[in-house]
Amino acid sequence: MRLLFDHGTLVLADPPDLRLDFVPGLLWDPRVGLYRAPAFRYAEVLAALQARALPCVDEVGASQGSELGAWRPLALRPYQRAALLSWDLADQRGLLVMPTGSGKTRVALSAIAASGGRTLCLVPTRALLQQWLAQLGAAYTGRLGCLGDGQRAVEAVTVSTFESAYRLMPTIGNRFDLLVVDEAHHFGVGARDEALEMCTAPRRLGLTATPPDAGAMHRLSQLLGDTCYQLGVADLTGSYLADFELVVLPLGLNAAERERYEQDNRRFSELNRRFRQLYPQGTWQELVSVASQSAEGRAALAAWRRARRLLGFTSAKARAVATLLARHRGSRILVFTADNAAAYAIARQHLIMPMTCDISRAERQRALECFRRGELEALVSARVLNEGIDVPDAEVAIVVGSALGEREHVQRVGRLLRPAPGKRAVVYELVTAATSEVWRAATRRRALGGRRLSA
Amino acid sequence: MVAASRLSSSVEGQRLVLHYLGPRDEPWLRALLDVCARFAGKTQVELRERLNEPLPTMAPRRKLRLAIQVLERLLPEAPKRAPSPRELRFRVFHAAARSPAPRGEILGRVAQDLRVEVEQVEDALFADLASQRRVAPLPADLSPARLALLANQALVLTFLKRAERVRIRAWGNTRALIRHARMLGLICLIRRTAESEDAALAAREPRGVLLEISGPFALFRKTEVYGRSLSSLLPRAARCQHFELEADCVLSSGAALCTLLVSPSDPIYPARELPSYASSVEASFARDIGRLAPDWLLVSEPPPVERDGALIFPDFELHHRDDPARRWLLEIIGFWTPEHLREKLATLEAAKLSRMILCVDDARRCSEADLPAHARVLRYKSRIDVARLLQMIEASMP
Repeated sequence: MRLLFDHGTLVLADPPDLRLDFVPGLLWDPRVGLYRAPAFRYAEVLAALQARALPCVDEVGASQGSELGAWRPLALRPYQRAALLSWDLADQRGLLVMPTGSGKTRVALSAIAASGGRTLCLVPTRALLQQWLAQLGAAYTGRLGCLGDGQRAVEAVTVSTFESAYRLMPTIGNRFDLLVVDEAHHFGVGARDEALEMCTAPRRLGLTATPPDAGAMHRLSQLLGDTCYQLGVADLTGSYLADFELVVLPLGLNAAERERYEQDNRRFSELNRRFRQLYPQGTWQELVSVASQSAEGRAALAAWRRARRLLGFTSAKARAVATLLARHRGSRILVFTADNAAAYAIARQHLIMPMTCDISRAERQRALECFRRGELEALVSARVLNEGIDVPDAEVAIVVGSALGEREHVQRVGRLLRPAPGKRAVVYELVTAATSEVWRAATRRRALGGRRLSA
Repeated sequence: MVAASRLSSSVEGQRLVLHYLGPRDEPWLRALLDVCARFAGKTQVELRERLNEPLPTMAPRRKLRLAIQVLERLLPEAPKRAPSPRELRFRVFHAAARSPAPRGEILGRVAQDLRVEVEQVEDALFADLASQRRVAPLPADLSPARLALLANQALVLTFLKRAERVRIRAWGNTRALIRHARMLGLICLIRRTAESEDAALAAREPRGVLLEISGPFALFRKTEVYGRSLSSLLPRAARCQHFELEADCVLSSGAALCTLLVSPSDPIYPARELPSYASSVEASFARDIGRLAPDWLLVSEPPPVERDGALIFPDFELHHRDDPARRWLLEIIGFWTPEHLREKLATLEAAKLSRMILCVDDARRCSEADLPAHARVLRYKSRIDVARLLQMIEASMP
């Protein structure tokens, strides 16, 4: 009996003449007349066969390719050492949940060095690809492979974008012993999960600041392992992360805005009420799908979009942004908006650099460098600064609007938490009173783990 | 690529049926044009937000989405070149960070440095960004009927980009169609068809041409750019006196192929006239021959050579001014695979066309496999090397 890697799956060739349903994930593939199992169950399949003392030649080929280099020693903080130990005790499988700025990458580098195996690191963006290559280059003496951003080289330690891994895993999925997934909350919900399924690496390490919801978490625990270590922002602020103050500014709507908001909100609430009567457990996607079937439903969805847009940047918020920018002149400020339109409006009015998907990567990089050197005092962004970019240190954040909830909020606040002597960051949250923003903002704040509020 | 299920179409058996826009759609198309006209001068993102909301007149969703896609391609204003928005952003935001001066003063200073008006600075600040580009006024001749035709054309083209095989039979005025297929370098075989069943057509041109073209889904590389090239063939076919297009399309991964049929009775917008030279490569080649090889005469588009039903269309005929016996035919190949070239060379051999040279563009290779060995093929990158061509000719002379 031979165990082979075939296009991102495992194949059991020359099987014995007995039922193999005790092997986890193994199914009969009538197309080729062989048993087949998902590649991520490699260790379980081998263990099951060995437990029954069935002779099996392992031809998966997990240790092919170039030689491993040496690692320079890495100093870890106490909580980073604890995280590494927890992962080790969990059989080197699991998810580390640690806030932005707490040094997750450093823990991962130590894990790679400690495991001593061939490693594939997955990252969501090209910017993070370059950051990982730089950090690995400082700690590892061997050659580094890179998949993505125009490169296609596989080495014993390789960094890949999610996209490249998704495309190439059927051919390279058997070459690694350890799979490291940065920003792991992107997995567990869709087709990209196949990138993790098609890899045979038995050791797995996921990194995130914001674990996904229960459904995605269940899938993620199958693909990477359970959460083995978790720290919140509040656990590290004041010691390893800069302390910060959260200031909530309740603002109003003017008469015209209030009228428009109420009208649009009523229209959508009516649709939502009728949908909930029919489908009490219906999801947002199902609501949109049902509403899109009728002109009335589409009009209600359009009203919802208008209301969200209005709340994203009201006239009171515009005035508050002006006041706060003037008050903190001389500090480095990040302004976060719900959408690009609000980001451009603020950029145009206050002459501060917008960081949006429309701006080229080179120009964004140049702006971040200028921000780091203090040549630019403020940046305004809807989503680009949320994650996946090494944002220079800042002291003030103004959250004008948010579209993506708690996870986005934690990532944004994390941008201010790089510690510095005597530093105390300030996060201003602009919330429109007597609107849906109030409870959304409260939910977001809970994700920060009980911060002291000022108003 | 837009999912086939989201397009205005349905499948009946193995046949793909397109639901074209017609006169019944004109009221909502007019409403759509009115909305777009009102947004001229505003940003693309403002228009997009408005188009996310229902029109004053009821519109079928799939058709509306298609018409909006067509309009979005027609409406963006070209970004202004001066002052450069990127440079402007750098100057303005740095100036604002350095000085606590009011906004107007900072913009005024930058405008003064660049010797432009403040309004120009304001206008150009984000003018290069996709969502911030201004909506151009609607073209004067864009009526609801024309928009419907353009949308129909876009619908057919979307499915052509999903084709595995395309066959076009055309009669009358076919030269332009063939030239265009060749100019685009599509992987195609051209032959004469059987006589037309249409008596009037048969009287004028008894035998048409049949183009058998590989579709983008038959290739492994450059499928998007190839698909765009292939789809631009349709408007040319519409200029023939009669044509029948048959495409075997892949609607979803693993599903059976569906056949799309298009004929002149379908409401599709016809194309503009062709430029005088088929491609910039041909134009520069003709110039280079005149300059570097004055002893040789270049004839553009010589008559096609017919052998056993297959038609061979050389791009050029090259003959020596002092020795007319030294006569060579040249064909410039666009997209290619080694299999396609092998087939082509076999046809040339069968036709006993030994004095024919194929020029292949390295950048338009669509397969990893290698060229056939010993083929009389001149490879080029963006420009044909006349000196190497003449060397090849001299080396082939007995």
